Amino acid sequence: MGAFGRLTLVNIRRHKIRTLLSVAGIGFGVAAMLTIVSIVLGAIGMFQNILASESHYVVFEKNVSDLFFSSVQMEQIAALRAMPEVDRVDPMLVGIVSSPDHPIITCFGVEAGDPHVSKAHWLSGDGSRFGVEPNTLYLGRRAAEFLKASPGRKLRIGKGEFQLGGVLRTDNGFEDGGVFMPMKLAQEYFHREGIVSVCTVKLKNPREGSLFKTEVERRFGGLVALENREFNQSYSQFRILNFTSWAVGICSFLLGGMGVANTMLMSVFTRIREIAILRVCGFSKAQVAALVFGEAAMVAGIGVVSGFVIGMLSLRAMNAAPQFQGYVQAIIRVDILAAITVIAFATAFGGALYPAWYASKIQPADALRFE
Amino acid sequence: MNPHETIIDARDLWKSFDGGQIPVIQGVDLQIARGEIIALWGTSGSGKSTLLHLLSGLDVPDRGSVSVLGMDVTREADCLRLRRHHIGFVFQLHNLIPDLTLEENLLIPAMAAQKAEEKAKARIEELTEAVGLTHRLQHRIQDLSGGERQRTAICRALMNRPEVIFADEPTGSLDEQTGAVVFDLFSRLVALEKVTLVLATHERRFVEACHRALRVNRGKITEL
Repeated sequence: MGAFGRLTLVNIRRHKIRTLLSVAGIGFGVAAMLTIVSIVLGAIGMFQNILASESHYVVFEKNVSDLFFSSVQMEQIAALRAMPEVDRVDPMLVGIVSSPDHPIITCFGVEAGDPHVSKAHWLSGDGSRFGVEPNTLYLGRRAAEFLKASPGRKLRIGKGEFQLGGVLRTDNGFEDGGVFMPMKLAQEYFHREGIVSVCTVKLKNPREGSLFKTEVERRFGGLVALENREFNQSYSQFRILNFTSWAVGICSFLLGGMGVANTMLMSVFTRIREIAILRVCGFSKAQVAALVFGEAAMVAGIGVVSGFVIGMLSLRAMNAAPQFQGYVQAIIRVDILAAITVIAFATAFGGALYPAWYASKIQPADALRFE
Repeated sequence: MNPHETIIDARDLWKSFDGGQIPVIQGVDLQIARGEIIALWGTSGSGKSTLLHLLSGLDVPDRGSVSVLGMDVTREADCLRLRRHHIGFVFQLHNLIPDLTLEENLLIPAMAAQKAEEKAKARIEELTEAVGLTHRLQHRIQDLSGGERQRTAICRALMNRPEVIFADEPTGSLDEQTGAVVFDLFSRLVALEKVTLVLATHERRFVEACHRALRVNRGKITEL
């Protein structure tokens, strides 16, 4: 480390508690943003995986605020299946069920042969008999754990009592923590006979997508067909979640930035004489400002590292906590880490702007006049 | 290099504080030649420190001009160049950074002038050897005695081989005996390095060691 770096380090070590509070401000901002954004991205990713399995398009009710409220008629499903460019249609009815002690469990109503069940790894039960036995449902691995259910036993879901037909394992936290019902049973349970929430469509030739899309909108005015990529970008819930997570993260950073501003300002105020001496020794205004920015950068650097450690540990703890039923499957992306780092440094520099300006304006004579 | 060349040239200097209510320097003209050791002598409040600040560019006159080595001390760029390469300061209080070691304090002028650390360290060794502080290089300022701190401040002023040193009561915070030792060391170093010294002091004993002495009284100067 050069002499300039040592001078910066000495300054931040001089008032350890003050520096620590500043580092904590940035660190908690980083941790909060990392945790929130990663969880939201993970949740979105899991939801996308549910819809995107082996399909090209998602068809659902136009202008619906949430897929839980979307309604697609079974006649429309049949019509879609009859379209010459369509290879396969997999309808899904999504709902929320409850059991004693677990008020919110996602329920997927799917048909036999749906890739979600046919391609899953069955830990118990037989996937080929999905929907054959009456009044039988199936559980994801984590749902079976937290419901303490085992095949052959009866299971109370809402006001109904069902037989457990098997337990399946997927790579998706939502599915692993969910209940799978054969479509007919789900429609009866949710009183939505003849209706599904959404369907995924696999085309014979994916290049005919735009034709398919136009055709869906022409034939079924109330429905919309979106490519998986389009769906991810336009589905309002994803947008709201994304926006909220970044907004919450940035708010926490603003608090951190105020902490840095306060620390740097106090640091400058208590060192007016010292800064005057640096000026007397030949430090330029820019060098004095660089000293303050250097301190802010060090605070930000330590804050970023500690924030990432805290955030990663929190995510790991949430992922392991049984209370979250496996729904926390954080996605940590390098670009997100980079964005958080940039925001943290920008916040610290923003906080150091006024102190740096103030420090660079200190006149040696004024500071030294009253020796 | 002309030994009689005027390197500090002050003309018609005026300075007051409190919006003109307190006149401190009133129409001072002063020329100082290269290699001179000159004392600004006066009682407390006579204006000698203010005059020193004006001559060195630490403060700006209300009226008049000061040039050091042909550079206008009131211009930011000239002033910065002077502080980095041509002038050094010693104050009554050592004004060192207490949390840094002696060596790190001496590195500050070199850092400001963006000099290579190796060269700066060689200079530090040379200076600390001359003032007997080599064994204290890695000690923090707060662990040094008053005399050692002031010797360190003298070394810092000499770090970048300046041509002029402005010293404001450099022994004012020391006891009589330590002050005398430090002043003796200071004078020898200044002579050795062939530096022009402008010394503000109230102590008569130091005035006698200077080539020329000026009495500062009510903002005006007279030759002693």
